[in-house]
Amino acid sequence: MVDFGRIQKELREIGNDKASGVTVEVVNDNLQRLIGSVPGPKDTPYDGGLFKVDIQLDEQYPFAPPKMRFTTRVWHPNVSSASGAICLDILKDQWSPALTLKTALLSLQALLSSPQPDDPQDAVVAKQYLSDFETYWTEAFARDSGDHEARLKRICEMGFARDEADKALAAAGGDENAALEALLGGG
Amino acid sequence: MADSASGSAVAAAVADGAAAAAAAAAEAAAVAEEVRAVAAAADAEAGGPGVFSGERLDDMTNIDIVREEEAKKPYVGDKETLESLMQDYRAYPVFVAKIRSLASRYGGIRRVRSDGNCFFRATAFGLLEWLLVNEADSECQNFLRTLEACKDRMVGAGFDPLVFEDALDMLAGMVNAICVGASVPGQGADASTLLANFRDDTVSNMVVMLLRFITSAEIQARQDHFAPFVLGVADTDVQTFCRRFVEPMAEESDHVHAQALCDALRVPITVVYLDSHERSGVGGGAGGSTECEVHRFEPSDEGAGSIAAAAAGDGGGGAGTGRGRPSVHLLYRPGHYDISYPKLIA
Repeated sequence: MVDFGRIQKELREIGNDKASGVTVEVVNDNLQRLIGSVPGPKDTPYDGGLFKVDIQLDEQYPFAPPKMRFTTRVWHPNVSSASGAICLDILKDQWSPALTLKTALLSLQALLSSPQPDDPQDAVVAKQYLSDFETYWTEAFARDSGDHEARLKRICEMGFARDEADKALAAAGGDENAALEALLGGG
Repeated sequence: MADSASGSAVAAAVADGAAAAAAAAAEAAAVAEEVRAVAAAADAEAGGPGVFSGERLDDMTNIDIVREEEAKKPYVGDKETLESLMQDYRAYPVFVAKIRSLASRYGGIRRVRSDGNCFFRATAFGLLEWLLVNEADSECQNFLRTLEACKDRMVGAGFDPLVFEDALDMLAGMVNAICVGASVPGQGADASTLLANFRDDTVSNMVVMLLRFITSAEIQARQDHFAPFVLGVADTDVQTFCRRFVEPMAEESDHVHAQALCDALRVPITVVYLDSHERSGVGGGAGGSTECEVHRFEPSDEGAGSIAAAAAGDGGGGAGTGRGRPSVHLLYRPGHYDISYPKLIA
């Protein structure tokens, strides 16, 4: 049996929370079929976009994860550019009922900020991401070349440890792209 | 009928062994031996068209197949005698000898579905059944206070209240119904109400979920205490361990989960290990001198339950060894827990 009480509580909480930026709407009064939206994170190529997410809750929710898929087209190594299918651990075996629709949508937002090209959903995008890094990040990085700290922060946002990023930047003479390539190549 | 039922029970034990091997690398060798041993027992039995006879045993490493099979069984079974357990292992002398030795102290078992949640489900049912059978009103009240303390720990650990409050209300409602007693129709709970609740998908899984959160919150509230044990079983930090191995449904439990839940609920948990290992210095199977190992988890004074008890002024010692205190008894076979029933000692 579906736990509608919990779903309603979650919808109320998301409705009351304007700060997070994510939203969930009910489609046709059906609490098992929802539409979420995630604003593209700042300082990423997704900035300024609003990404819609199709959400399906089966009978086992919240014991089983919500099924989520982007309906807005997204160019991202962990999202299928054809179907919008998402490769994210918490939507699979790492799901727990301690998570909510809101935390799941915020995780999608975090995924947009830090792609995991080594575990791709879309091989074409991942390959481009790994081999053609400059083009992929130009839009974000060209806008603000930044100081050392900003470069360090951006590298960390991609999932690298701070000291690791620091070392790579130093070795690359402060060249952010070269440092990233070294980090990715070495990984 | 008997053959196919016992065949699948043994088959479940095999798969549980396989799951445990995957989960606990350190015990992999021992479990692998267990799997071979039990598989041999299953082979001997499965001669007929049993569910998992013959070649299907090759697929048993696939946990999904077994969980699918297990999903046809109730979450919590009917009470059975040890004789039925003996039937499962009749082709395997070490098990038979061990079960025989158990019979002096234990009168029966109740099987719990092997879905990765068995430890939590068995403990919850065992505890509520104890409260019901012993008509222990004051212990019901103690348990309700303990749940309040656990709630504070969950909030402290950062759980969003909306994920646990319905489950907490529901469990408290079940305890209240036990307290009211079966004599008040429509409000009180009896044994059949309890069983029906634990066989209901939503109710049963909400209880499991709540106990998982309570366990996680207990571990996180006492990180310094639990960190070395967590490191021992999962080679990771406390938060990651809780997020990956405690909170998700169907993640199997080991001694860290058991100790934390015992501390949080302030209920001692006695686990009898039924496996193929013969203890050194003890004679071989035939004489019935093969004993099962027993591990008793005792609640710590630092646990949520003991703190709640101390605040309520009932001493808070937490050991609770007296006959008047709730306790839970489990039968462990590699990778799986069932409920066991100690014989009352006059």
